Amino acid sequence: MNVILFDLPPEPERQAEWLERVLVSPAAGQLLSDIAALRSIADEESSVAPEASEPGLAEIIGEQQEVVLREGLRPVDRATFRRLLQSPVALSELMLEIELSDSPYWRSLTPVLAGPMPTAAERAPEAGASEVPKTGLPDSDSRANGTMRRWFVAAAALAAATLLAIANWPDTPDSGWGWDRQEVFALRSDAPTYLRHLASAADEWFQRTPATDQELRSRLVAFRRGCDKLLAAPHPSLNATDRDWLRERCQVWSEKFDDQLARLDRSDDWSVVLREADETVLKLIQALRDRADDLV
Amino acid sequence: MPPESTVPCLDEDQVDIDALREKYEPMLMRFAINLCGNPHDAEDLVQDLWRQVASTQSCPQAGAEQAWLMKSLRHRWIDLGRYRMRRPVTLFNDLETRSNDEDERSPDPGVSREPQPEVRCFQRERTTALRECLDKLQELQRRFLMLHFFEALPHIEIADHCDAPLGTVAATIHRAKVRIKECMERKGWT
Repeated sequence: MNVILFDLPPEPERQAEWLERVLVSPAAGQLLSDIAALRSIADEESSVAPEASEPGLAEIIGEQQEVVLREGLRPVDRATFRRLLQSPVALSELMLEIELSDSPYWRSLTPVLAGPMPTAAERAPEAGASEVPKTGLPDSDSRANGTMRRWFVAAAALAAATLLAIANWPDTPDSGWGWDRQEVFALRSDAPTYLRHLASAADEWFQRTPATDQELRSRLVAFRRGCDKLLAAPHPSLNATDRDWLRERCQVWSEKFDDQLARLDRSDDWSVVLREADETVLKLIQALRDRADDLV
Repeated sequence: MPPESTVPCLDEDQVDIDALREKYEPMLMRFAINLCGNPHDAEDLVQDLWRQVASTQSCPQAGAEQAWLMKSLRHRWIDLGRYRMRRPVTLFNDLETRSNDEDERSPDPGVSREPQPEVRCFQRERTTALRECLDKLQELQRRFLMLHFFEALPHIEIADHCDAPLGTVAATIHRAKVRIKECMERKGWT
């Protein structure tokens, strides 16, 4: 995802943990950049002078700072957490305090997985490199020191792993979308990963918004066809109980899609049908993810 | 009056850059990578810091070197963010104000704030690109997106707040995310 903030879990109880893991990862700068963009809109809409609008870390968490450094963000109340999430300045201060504190709690966290951000040089053609020529630094040409090598090796390994994962992904661009591809059901993995994989495939429903009733019909038919493929697939990654659960749920979802198609046939208001189809897909995605979470 | 954790340098040799580098560079690199998102820009940022440290008129008090360097690095990161904006985003004015306020009340290395044109770390262009993509959203999409990702409101609270069906809220946010993702990709941010 090119906007890391969009990975913020929708469930409030999971947001603190997610933010903690981002703050100790190379995705942190990207998150601050994302928040900066949203904040600029919020400041404009509220007509608040920006220099008066953004509090620092001390103003937001005050005396809770010690607790945060010792136990993370979960003890922080909801309102405080929201203010923190709105302030790149405060978050960068928090990152600094975390580094300086050398807190065992924060050291124990697993950073979120994030591919390396494009470097400024890589961004140069579109981002103003001509304005800012890279002239070469006295010291930076001598990057062949051990520290840099280690970081480059780590970055290269991450990139290679990502490429490998993409190469092995059972999908081709021209073979339909969502569950309407037999390859989707060929993934062999543990059950939670497989269920999340199905949820992600279903998520492709939202990649296009139908502009007419005919387009909606076409999308619904494709999704319904995908349900049939799901019902018939062997799902080798699942045990019998989970397989039964999946097929049972899929029957229910299929009936809803059938009903929505029938309503289109009756020339019901297609925008209403679209809204209900959206809800059905969202619910089935959530059901798959909840089941995956339960199995972990 | 010098900031509390710094003292005037008595001579050029008082800051032993090599010793500081040997001891603190790995830690600074780790922090810089988290700020910049990639090792290359992080290296530039850290190099820039050392260059500034070499030219500073203030020196860290004994025992305060680590905090001095880390705070300097963060300040450099903020400084670098505000000199590369092609289109103003108000936040960066805020960052600048905040940074200057901090100078007055907290320990500071006293290094020059003049940016080095070779160093590019803070993803200012990226923020601008995202802002432009957000501006292209339909009003309702942007409103729901802001409530969910900036106000951190769950879908159900947005639905209550806006008197909208839950499914509409979720689907609108989802489609807004897809549009932003595609817009960012068109701008080269994959």
